[in-house]
Parts: sequence; C-alpha cells; structure tokens
Amino acid sequence: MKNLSTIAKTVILSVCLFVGHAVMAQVSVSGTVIDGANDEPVIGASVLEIGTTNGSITDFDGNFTLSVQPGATLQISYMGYKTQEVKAVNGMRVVLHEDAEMLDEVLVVGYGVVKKNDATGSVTAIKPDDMNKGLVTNAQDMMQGKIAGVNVTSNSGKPGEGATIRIRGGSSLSASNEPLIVIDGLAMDNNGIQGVSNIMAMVNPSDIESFTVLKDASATAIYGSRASNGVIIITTKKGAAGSKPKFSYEGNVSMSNLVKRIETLSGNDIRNYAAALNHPKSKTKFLGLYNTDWQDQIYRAGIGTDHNFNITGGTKNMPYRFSLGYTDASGVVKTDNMQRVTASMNLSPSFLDKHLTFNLNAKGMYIYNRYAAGVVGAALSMDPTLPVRGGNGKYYNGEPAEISGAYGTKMVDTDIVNQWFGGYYQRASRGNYQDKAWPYTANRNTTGNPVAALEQEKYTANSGCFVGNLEVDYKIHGFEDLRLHANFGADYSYGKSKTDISPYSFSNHYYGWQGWEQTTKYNLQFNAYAQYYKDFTDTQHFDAMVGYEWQHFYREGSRDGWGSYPIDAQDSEGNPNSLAGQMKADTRSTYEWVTENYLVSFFGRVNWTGWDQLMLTATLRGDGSSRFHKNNRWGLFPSVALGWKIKETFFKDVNWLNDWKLRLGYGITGQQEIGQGDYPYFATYYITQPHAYYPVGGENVLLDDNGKPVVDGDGLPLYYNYRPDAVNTELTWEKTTTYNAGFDFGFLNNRITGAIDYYYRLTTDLINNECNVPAGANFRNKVVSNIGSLYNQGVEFSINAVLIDRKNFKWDLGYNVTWNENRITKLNSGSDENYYVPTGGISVGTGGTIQAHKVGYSASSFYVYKAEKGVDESGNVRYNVVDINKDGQINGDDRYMSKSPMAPVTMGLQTKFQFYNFDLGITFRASLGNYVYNGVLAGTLYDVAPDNVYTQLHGGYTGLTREAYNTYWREGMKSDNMGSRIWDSELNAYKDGASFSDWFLTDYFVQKASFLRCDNITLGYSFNKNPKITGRVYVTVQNPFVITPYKGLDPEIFGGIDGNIYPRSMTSLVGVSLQF
Amino acid sequence: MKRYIKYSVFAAVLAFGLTACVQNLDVEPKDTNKVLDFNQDAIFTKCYATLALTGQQGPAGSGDVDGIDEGTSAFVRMVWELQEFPTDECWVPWNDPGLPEIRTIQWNSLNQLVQGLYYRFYFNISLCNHFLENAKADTEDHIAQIAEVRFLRALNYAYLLDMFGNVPFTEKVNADKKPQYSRTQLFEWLENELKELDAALPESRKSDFRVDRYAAKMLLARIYLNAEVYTGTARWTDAATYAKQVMDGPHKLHTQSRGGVYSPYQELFMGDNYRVAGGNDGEGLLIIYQDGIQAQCWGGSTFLVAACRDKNVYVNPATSEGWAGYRSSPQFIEKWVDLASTPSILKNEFDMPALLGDDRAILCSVLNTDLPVVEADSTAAQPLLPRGEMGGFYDSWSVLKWTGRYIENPLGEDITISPHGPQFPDTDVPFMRSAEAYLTYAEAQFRLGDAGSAKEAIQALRDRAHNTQAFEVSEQFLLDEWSREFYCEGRRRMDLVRFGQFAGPTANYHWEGRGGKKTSEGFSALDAKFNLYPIPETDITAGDLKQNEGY
Repeated sequence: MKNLSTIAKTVILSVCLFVGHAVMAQVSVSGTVIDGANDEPVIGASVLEIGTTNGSITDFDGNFTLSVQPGATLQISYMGYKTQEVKAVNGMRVVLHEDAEMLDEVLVVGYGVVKKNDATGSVTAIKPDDMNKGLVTNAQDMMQGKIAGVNVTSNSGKPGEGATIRIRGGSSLSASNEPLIVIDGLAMDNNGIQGVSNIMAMVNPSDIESFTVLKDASATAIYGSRASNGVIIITTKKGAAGSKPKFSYEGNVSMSNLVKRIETLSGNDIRNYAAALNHPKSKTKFLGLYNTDWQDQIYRAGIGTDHNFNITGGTKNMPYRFSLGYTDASGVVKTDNMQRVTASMNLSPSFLDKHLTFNLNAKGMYIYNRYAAGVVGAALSMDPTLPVRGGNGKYYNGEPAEISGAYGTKMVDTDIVNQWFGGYYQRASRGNYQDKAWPYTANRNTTGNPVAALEQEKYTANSGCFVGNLEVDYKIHGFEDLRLHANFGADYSYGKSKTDISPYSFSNHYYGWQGWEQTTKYNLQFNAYAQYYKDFTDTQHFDAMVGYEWQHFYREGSRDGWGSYPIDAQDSEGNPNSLAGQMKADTRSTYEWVTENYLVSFFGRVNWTGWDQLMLTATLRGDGSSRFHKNNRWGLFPSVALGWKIKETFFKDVNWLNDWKLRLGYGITGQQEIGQGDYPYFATYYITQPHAYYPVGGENVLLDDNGKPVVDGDGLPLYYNYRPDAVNTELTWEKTTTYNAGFDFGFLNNRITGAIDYYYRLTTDLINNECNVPAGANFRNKVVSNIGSLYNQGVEFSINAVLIDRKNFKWDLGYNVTWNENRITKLNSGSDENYYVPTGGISVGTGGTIQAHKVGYSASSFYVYKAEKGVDESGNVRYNVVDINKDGQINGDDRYMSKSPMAPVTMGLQTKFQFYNFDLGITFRASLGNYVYNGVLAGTLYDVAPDNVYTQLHGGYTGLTREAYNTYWREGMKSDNMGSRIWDSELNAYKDGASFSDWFLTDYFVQKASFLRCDNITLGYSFNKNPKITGRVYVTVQNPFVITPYKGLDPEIFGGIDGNIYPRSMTSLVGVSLQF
Repeated sequence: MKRYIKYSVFAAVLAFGLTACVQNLDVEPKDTNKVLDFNQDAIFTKCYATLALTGQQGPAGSGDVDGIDEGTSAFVRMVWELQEFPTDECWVPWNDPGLPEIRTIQWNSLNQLVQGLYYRFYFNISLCNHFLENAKADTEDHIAQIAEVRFLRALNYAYLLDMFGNVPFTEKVNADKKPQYSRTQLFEWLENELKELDAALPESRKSDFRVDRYAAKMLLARIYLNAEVYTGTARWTDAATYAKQVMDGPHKLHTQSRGGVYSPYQELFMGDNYRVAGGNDGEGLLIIYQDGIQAQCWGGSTFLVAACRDKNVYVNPATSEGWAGYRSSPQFIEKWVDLASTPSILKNEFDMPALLGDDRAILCSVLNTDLPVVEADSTAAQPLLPRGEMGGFYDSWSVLKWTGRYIENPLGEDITISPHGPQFPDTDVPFMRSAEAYLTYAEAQFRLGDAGSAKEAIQALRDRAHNTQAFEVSEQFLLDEWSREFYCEGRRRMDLVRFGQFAGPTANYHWEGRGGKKTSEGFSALDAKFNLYPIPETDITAGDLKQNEGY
C-alpha cells in the first residue's frame, strides 16, 4: 500500500492512452439538436464521433456539421441531459431529454453507491448551485443553510477561515464533534496544520461535483469509528468517456466591506466624559487632542480575485479532467491576505471491456497567508484622543503629556515614540534593558497601538497539501456478479508559520521576536472490498459486500522562537554591546514532537430489495484503534435499516403522488478522536522543558548544546526531570446509538419533493477530559475517561418545490428546518445534584468559566448568577445579583444553569428565479433561540466606571464602546456598583446586601442571539450568442444583512462566547463563467 | 477447481496482509519528549520540583494540576493563599474564581481554589508514591533520596491533615479504593513516619535545596503543637522536645546582616536569600528554589513579590510584575502600632522598622508620591487606611517583606527588575525556617506553665529583629507574635485555628472582611465547620468519601 511506483506507472500509462487517434476518409453530416421538453434548440451540445476525438459543438440554432467516417455513430451530450448515441445521418434531428435527477438518482454512500430510490438511510446529497454560490473560498460554505440538520458556522470573517460543522448537534463533550470528511473515497485526517483552516479548504470549490451528507447511523455505520458525527462525502468532477475536450473558466473580482462595526466613543466624547467626571488636571493631561477612530485605522475594503480553469473530456477509455485555480483574498483588517493555488487531476480509464476501471485523483494546493496581528480588541480599548503616530506635543490642556514612567519618571512622550516605538504613539514606562540607548519600554498594562502592531508584527504561513488516491475496480471475468475494489490513498500536508516581531513593537519591545512553527502530517490508507450482486428473481435483488481498511495517521511538528539584542544594542554605560544582534538565549523556546495512530477495520454490508417495495440494509463494522489498550481496542458497530416504498404498495396508480417512502434505521457508531493525545493508555514520562529545572538530582545534570552543565546565576547545576503521565488503560470507544425514522415524498410529477426525519441519538461512554478521578489514583486529577452519556433528538424537515415551470420562467424554492435538543443524562464523576463540570473559559476576569456541563441540561449551557434590575434608595436603576439558594450569602452556589448557546431551531431557505436568460438567487439562514455571552460588552464595561476610565496603571484613559457606555449610564448595569439581594431568613424576604464583584458572570451578559441572515443574493445573465462560447456573468452580494436582537457585533458565534472576532464583512462580487 | 485454488491463494495473501496490518495497532510512543522507563534520579528531581514549579515548562504551559489556572496551582501559592487570605494578616481585592469566598470565609465543596490545593497535594503524593514504589536503595545517595521523598510525602499529608482533616490515604498509585483516614489516624501515621525519618534522613544536606533530619523534627514539632486540634489530645511536651532539638541543631537564626544594607530578617526574603537561609547552617530547614531564568513559575516567589505591589508601590520589587494583590489588613497593622496615632508618611521598607524599633515590620503606608499624578490628585495619596469595609488594593498598607532585590545590591535608583531575569525574582522560599522552632517551643512551654522559657525563646527572635521593647507572654501575645514573625509566610489560618480564633463558638476575634453575619453586637460566630476545608465535591464522588462535618 505504500508502493507509490504503482501510482506512477498508472499515470504514465494513462498519459500514453490519451494520445489521439489517426483520421481516415470522411463524409460530412449535419443535424440539429433539440430539447425534448420545449422543442428549443440545444446550444453548445457536444457531438462526438464515437471512437475518435473528432467532434463539434452545436451553434445558436442547435445545428452542427461534422465530417465523419461512413457509418459512424455519434454521441450527443450536454450537461444535465441524457447522452444519446445515434447513427450519423445527414439532416439528423436528435432530441435530448433532461436528466434533472442525474445526480439524485445515484447516491454515494460509504464504500459504494446506491440508487436513491433504494436508499434506506438518512442521506442528503446536494450539488453545488453554480448559479448562486457567491464568494466561496472554502468548500464548507457551499453547504451553509442548504441541508436540514447540518449547521455550518464560519469561525470568523477572515478570508479562507475554517468553519465549525455540526450534524444533528454535537454527540461528544470533549472528544471531537467534527464530521468525517471523505474526499473521493479518501477519509481525511481533520487535524489542522499551520495556514490551512481545515481539510475541506484544500478542495477547490469549483471542482466539487456533489456533497453527500450521511446523517443517521444506518448510513454512517459503515464508516464505523469515525462517523459518530456524520459523514460528508465530497465527490469531485470527472471527465466523460469519448467527449471532446471542453474548457471552462470561472473568475470573479470581489470587494469586502464592513457594514457593521462596534460603535465607540470619539475623542471628543472621552474628553467630555472626563470633564463631566470632574477629573483633575493631573489626569486629564494624559488626554490627547485627537479624534482617532482606531477601527477606521485598522479596517479597509478587502479586494479579492478568484480564477479557475479546467479542461474536461475523454477518449473512449480515458475520461479526464484537469483544473487549476488561483485565489487572492484580502481581509478587511489591513495586511490580512491569502493567496492560494490549487490544481487537480482526475483520470478514470477503463480496460478489458470495462471490467477493469481505474480512478486516479490527485489534488495539490499551496497557500500563502499573511495574518493580521490581533488588533480587533485593541481598536476598541485604545484611547481615541491619542494620535496614531507621533504626538506633536499637543494635548488637551495645552501642555505636553508626561508618560507615567513606572517608577517616578517624567518623560514627554513625543521623545519616546519617535525613538523607541518606530514613530508610533505608545504609552511607555521606564525599562531596564541595561542599555543606555533604550531606557524606556512599552507600558505593558496599557493597550498597544493597534496600527503599530499591524506593521510591526508579521505573521505569515506557507502551507502545501497533496492528496492522491487510486481506485481500482475489477469485475471478475466470467463471474461478473462479483466485483473487487481497492483504493490506495495518501494525504500529505505541510505547514509552516513564521512570526517576525520588531524590537519597536509593544508586544516584544527591545528584543523583538522571531520564530516559526511547523507541522507535517501524512495519512496513508488502503481499503479493499468485494461486492457481490445477485438478482435471484425479477423481484428479489441481493447484494453483499465485505471489506477491509487500514489507515495510518502520522503527525510531527516543531517550533522555535527567540528574541535578540537590537543591532544597535549598547550596555548601560553607552558602549556597544558585544551581544548586539545576537539571540538572547534565555528567551528561546523550542519544541519538537511526533505522534501517530492507526485504525484497522473490517466491514460488511448486505442489501436486499424485494418486489421493488421493501429494502433492507444491514451493516457491520469492526474497528481497532491504536489509541486504546489492547483489551478494549476493538469496537463493533452494527446497523440495520428498512425502507418501504409505500407508494408502490398502496398508491401505485395515484398519479399525483410520485414517491412516498418510509425509512427506519438503527445503528451504532464510535468515537476515538479523544483529543488527548494518541497514547492515553501508556505509562509514559514527560521530560522537562526549558525554564522548569531544579537544582536537585542525581545523575541527570542538564547539559547545554556543547555538552557543558547548565548552571544558574549562582553556579548551581540544574537537573532535568520526568513527570509520569496519566494513564487510562480502561479507556474505550465512545458509542452513539442512533434511531431514525423518516419519510421521503414527492408530489405533482416530483415538482414538490421533501423529507421529514425524526432522530434520537444517545451517546454513551462519553469521552471527557474534564472529570476527576479519585485523588491519589493517578498522576492527574482529571484523566481522559468514559464519563457519562447525553442524547440529541430532533426533527428535520426539508422541502423543495418548483413553483413555476414555464418555458422562460422558472421559480424554485427550497426550505429546511431542524429542531434539535441536546441533554446530558449522566455524569459518572458527580452524583450531587449541584455537580457540574465547568467549561467555556472567558477572558474577562482571571481563569473564569461561563458554561457548565450538568445533568439535565444542554451541554455547555451558561452557568451564571442572576442579575435583577432594581432601583436604589435614590431612585436610580441598579442591578442586583440574587441570592438564589436563599442561604443569606452570595457565593458560587448562587449560579444557575441558564440558556444554551446551541440554537434549538435552525432553518435555511433558498429561492431562485430564472426569467429568459436572467437568473436571480437568494439564500437565507435563520437560527432561533440561541444565546451568546456578550464578552465584548463585559470586557469593556469595567472601563466605563469613573474610577476606571482613567487609571494610573494604564498611564491614561481607555477607549470605550458606545454599548458599554450606555449599559453603564442608561441601563444602570454598573460594574463598580452592582449590588446583591440577600435572603434574610428571619424577615423571610430579600434585602439589599453588599456590593457584588463578579458582575461579569451574571446572566445580564447572556443575550438572545437569534438571527436571520441573508447569505447571498446573486443576479446572473447567461449568454450563448456565440456558438463556440457559452457563459454567464453575474453579480453577487454576500452577507448583505442580518436581522437580530443581539446587541454585539455578530450573533453567529459557535460556542456562544463573544470575544473580539474578526468581523464578517459584506462582499460584493462580479464574476463570469465561460465554457468553450 | 482451478478457480477455487485461485481464490484460496488470494484469500491467503489477503489474510497474511491483514494480520500484519492488525499488528500496526500495537504502537509505541514515538515522541522524543516521552520516555517509557522509570528513571529514579529524574523522578526524584520532580518530587522536589513540585514544591517550586507548576509543571514541566516554565513559567507555564504544561501544568501538573487540572481545573485551576496553572499559575495559581503552585504548591507554595496554594498553601499560602488558603492559609493567608481568609485571615487577619492580609486582604486581597482580586476576584479570581473562588477567591471572594476564600477571602470572606464562605467557601464550599465546589470552590475551585480548595479543589486546586487538594489536588496539588495529591499530585505531589502520587508522584512520591510512584517514586517510593519503584526506587532502589542501591547507593548511599539513593537511600537518602528515599528518605527525603518520604519526607516530602509526609509534608503533603501534614498539610492535608491540617487543612482537610479526614482524607483518603494511600502509599500506592493505583485504582484501588483509597481508605479515608480520620484525622487521628492520619496524625498517628504521620507521627510514626516522621519519627522514622528523623532517624533515616541525613544529619546534614546531601546538597543545597535538599532536606536533612531537622526538617522532619520541625514538622514533627508542628503536628505536636497542633495535636489538640487534630486529635483532641494536646502534645505540648513532645512539641517542645522536637522544637528544642531544632533550636539546638545546626540551622541557626540568621542574626548578622550579610550585605550591611538590610536587616538580617529582611535578608531572609530577598533575591539571593539562599546565601543566608540555605546551606547546612542557614536558618532554612526547607528552602524552595526559585530562579528568574531556569525555574520560572507564577506561583512561587513571583507571586509573593508581585502580588503585593503594583506600579504605585514601587519599593524594591526587582520584578517587572505588579499584580495589585494582597495588602496588609488593619488588624495586622494594629499588631505593631495604634492606628489612631499613625505617623503620616512611611515611605519605604526602612521607615516603619526604624519607627517601631522592629526589623520585621516591613510595611509602607504611601503610594509612590514621585508619580506626577499624585501631585494634584488628593485621592491617590493614601496616608492610611480607613477601618471598616475593605475595598480595593489601595485601601491599606503595602507588605514589602518579599522582594526580588539582592542582599548585596546597593539601594540605587531605578532597579525595577531583578539583576538576573527581568520578570521572575530569584527569591527562594524559606518554607520552613528554624525561627518556627523558637515560637513552637515558646508556645508549648507557655501551655505547660513555663512562661520563663517561653519568654527566653521569643526574646531570641526579638533580639534578631532589634526589638528592645518589654513584653509579657500571654496567649494573646503569642498569637500576635506568631503573626509578627511569620506574617505572609503561609501559616496564619493554622495558628488562628489552634488558638480557637478562626471559626466556631470561641472565635470572638473579628477582622475586616471576615464572613459571618453582622449583628447589633458585632459579628455572629462563624460556623465551626470552617476550621477545616471541605473535601472537594469532585472527590466525594470520584473517591466515594465522606464529607467533613457541616459541609
């Protein structure tokens, strides 16, 4: 399976076969190609003399002329129509019929395909909508809102950013909740590398033929171990045998703009605020005279272009497709840029009278990223009265501001900015670099200048990926019922990120920072199966498959980083420092790691179809994972599903009803993506890393690179040590049992089709790393263990309708809605009714969490204090935290399980009009009942308080958001003056208690974040005047609006904790696609 | 037939291939940062390092203890916070998770800091148990190692005895159910273990930062001193006996200033303090190593130095960190001076000792008056604290006892960072020092009715502090003197409990911020349950344990 030369030989062989054939004596034939549905000519249909590469394309009137050999057969094909083969006769008229269900007919399922009519599981296939896909830099965006039960949440608005995909809720707590992604039969490793957001990023969206989403266990169980969270199968486009080469180009130019920003107070507002607070001159002299809008300074319009070119065609035995894509996208934060080149090749030759077929896929990608420094939050908290650069000595009260040198120094800041911060304004304090030329450093307690950070901190990544696989399929000669199939695949990725921070920066002043981090990974896999088909009688069909799979995942990485003395470094006396320009050794941080895991699986499937009415599918898969101890290494994953075409049984003659099918399924899938390393059952020791040594030991003296003992400042030798790792030999598969019942239906000549499903998914033996083991029993208090269970249940409904279907006017509508409920039912680690597992860390406060897992509640529900609006003695609005448990005091026990960040209801709506050559498509997505912790508000609210807007520690004033300011002054939610309502058991009533300091952990900040988002609107015009070229031009507006009650920037936040995310922009693009 | 042969061969090849591939599942860790074999010396080093560091990477990034901020999880810091924050010695305005409940004595079994401390102890114990299960006594040094690791385990159990009481006991690392020892059982085990170690430990240190038998004697004296709390039976004579052995041992009080700038007492808490507290004759019985470069963490002396300062409390930090954490409380200041007659400006670490005639009063009553902001802003100059509700960091005096500055560094301007690393002080933590023997001896003798011996021992400490004031030994005096000598060294809760002044019906001593209900007479007594911390809820469930009474 590692024999790459096999692949190489096949490539060479394939290329040889591709060479054209000779041409002999010819006759000329002409003809017309007609669309059977409306008698209109078909323009651009391909006409090919079978057995040759000789062909033509129909013109605007559907006519073609071709010189062929006498008695030749022509193959007439056109995308979306059934291909015809007819004898070449002059003046021929060929009628093509639409093959609208071409894709729907056959569903790609695990290790094989199944006719859609015969499918028993909950499987949804979508074909990317070429007419309305908007700006898609990552394949996952194409699924957003399109499939019931599938939620795709982009992580931020950064170009090429990844997304979190959840199929029917999350089935795990700390193990992976990511679906398995299978690209052309190759199950991908979903671990990221530097510069590649997720594995789907490596498929060029325009190469995708279809997405198939397997949702229930009867469909996914064949993938066994990795399929607990559903499976997404991506099939890329292929060439067609015996067709002339067709070229197509797609390209667009886009511009992204921020339509919504967080509103901040202006410089004038801050100065007025300081005046209103009667701040003394000693404070206000730190105010500048400027009105800097820091968000204006960091944001811009992001320009992007995208070009894709491909060639599709095929000789008789060798369909082929090649594609090349280039994307250049700039984000709305200055300096943010991504450039990507993708290339793919598909060859699918067949031999021996189609008994032996090959399918060779190769895809490559190279990405260059430049990431903007994290300045989104800094732009909110930087004082707007200050200038971006310099200072010019102009200050609020007319005198130059003094920098609050930490230890009693006075310093006019213009002197500082120009010399030690690259000309940017930066608050400074007295440093101690023992360098006469650098007496100051950045005041670490203040906000760093965000504009300076964009320039002075450079983060880049270069990444490359290669995925290739070869599928071999052989129908045994003389025993054609038996088919052998093998698939060899490899996936290799490399990513290296670099950091280069200037010595003038806020973050790494004086020493600067240079570093890199890289990851290399590969995934090898081999699978083989034998499939046996048998039609016993006309009504009884049977097929069975058995197979085997082997997968190896290998990952290694390293990082290094260091600060250096500036090239002009001096000593404290002002003499040149001999170390100038050299690495400062004790800042260096370096690390290397290697890990791997294996999966070995055996699987089988039996299908039976009787009387074209009843379908039964049973699968069984056994998986061995190297992540578990020998004794619990193997998991067995069975499934069974029944399909019943009720239409065929009872309503065979009812014409308006085209389809009515019942599906019932049951199955078990497993999870071994434990997220806690690949060796949880090994008793290993972890070696000390730098800066954690101790001067006590025996033989293990720490040596430097030259083999000399490392000593501390006093000459004491240091020793390295080992720490035993936690061990869990009992850890085993997390298992999800799914029950699914659904109906598929189609009415009115299948103009209305749809499906409704109910599912219940119970996950047991939840793998979690947050639960405690008995003290003294292991080397950690929290050991990754199987700790409990949870369920998801839900209903999905989807409907597609062709509302109007006239010759020149067509209106399609698609709608889906999902209701999902997630509940934790058991946590082994705690039986107390108040027991919870804290999760959801927030950056407000220190080490706090805002969410918890608790029995009876949705996973990661908000766990908060209750804030109640009240009035104080002088009639002012005041928030009080409530003594919920009425024990007369406020403490951690007064928190309660509040809302969940997961939306119980999600919907998607797509509609498309086609009017003559114009088309208009709109897609919407809605999420109802989800909540978000407004961490941006909580993080800035503190700064509004009169005592906090100016702080000596920060050396001045801070920027404020309008929302925080209003929350404090209008809403009365005062971070420095929040009260408490304490239960007095003697009075049997609440009374006012002391002030309450954990205000940021209250439910005030858990805010309703339902939303309706318009994902995109596209207007297109298709043209076909020129018989040689057909195409379409279009304009798209992506993300034009969001309707939400949420007061933060964007309600769509996976996990429900709003920090300062990279804002999602509105993108406008103009594009063209051409086929010739 | 031929076909069957063909298939059989195919099947055989397939079967062979499959078997080989199934064996791939038997992996071995490839990571070069991991090893599979026990290395006695390396685990021995780790047993000591758990006192000083929070994990395998400095200052953080690979913590030992889960469920708590790594910087907080340090042994020194956790013990310190839970022994100091709920007491009359200091006040902390932070609102880290669980901290407000510690500060106001309202904790419960879900408290994150209580959990963090408990699991820090058990991580250390598991490590020691693992060492002791596997260590070989094949060389002289290895024999000493075994005794020292037993001592480190006993130290952790001694803190569990003091703070958690009835806890699971184990000498093995395995999944077997751990018996829950009563406080008396654990006391008896510790008494025997420490007596054995008194004999087994070396008479003098094998090397710097290791322990000798005087550490075991001191710990033994400490549990005897508290025996009445632990078991109901006082053991004053035993406490005095072992304390006396320490007093007569080689670890003498540090009485002569080494650098000539600072007092001998102050020198015990400075950047190069191991020169006076370490060694075979230094005052330290257990010195926890810290180094600004090689041994960094946020929970050792970095915490002790940084948390009591910020940019307005600039005196002598020798670290770039200033966390605005703990301050002295009014009650603590009253142990030195009458608040009503406080002098106005006590600018640095020399003014207060000079004024009070006691080197130990290393406090400072003002913010940095050199800062420009203070010129016009009357609120920033804080000559003194108001008595009443405690609020923010500036509402009381600074504690300047812990510093990163070096003993021999002259008191120059602008030394804001350590001479060594810019962020992390080098100050080692003299976690047990022989001064404790003097006060232990004094208290035990006083309880036994010998006030004269008590006074003599206390006088030795006062002489070292250059305190010439007359005093009479009383119970209250002893409780106060423990504070004057050991404030902010991580033991106050234990002393208050022993004197019946922490919680329960006898506790009539109230300090700012202390919990309990305010009544017309003052405060109602705190529930006696608070004399012990609760067993964390997580281990009540996971370890199937019985909770301490009242929780």
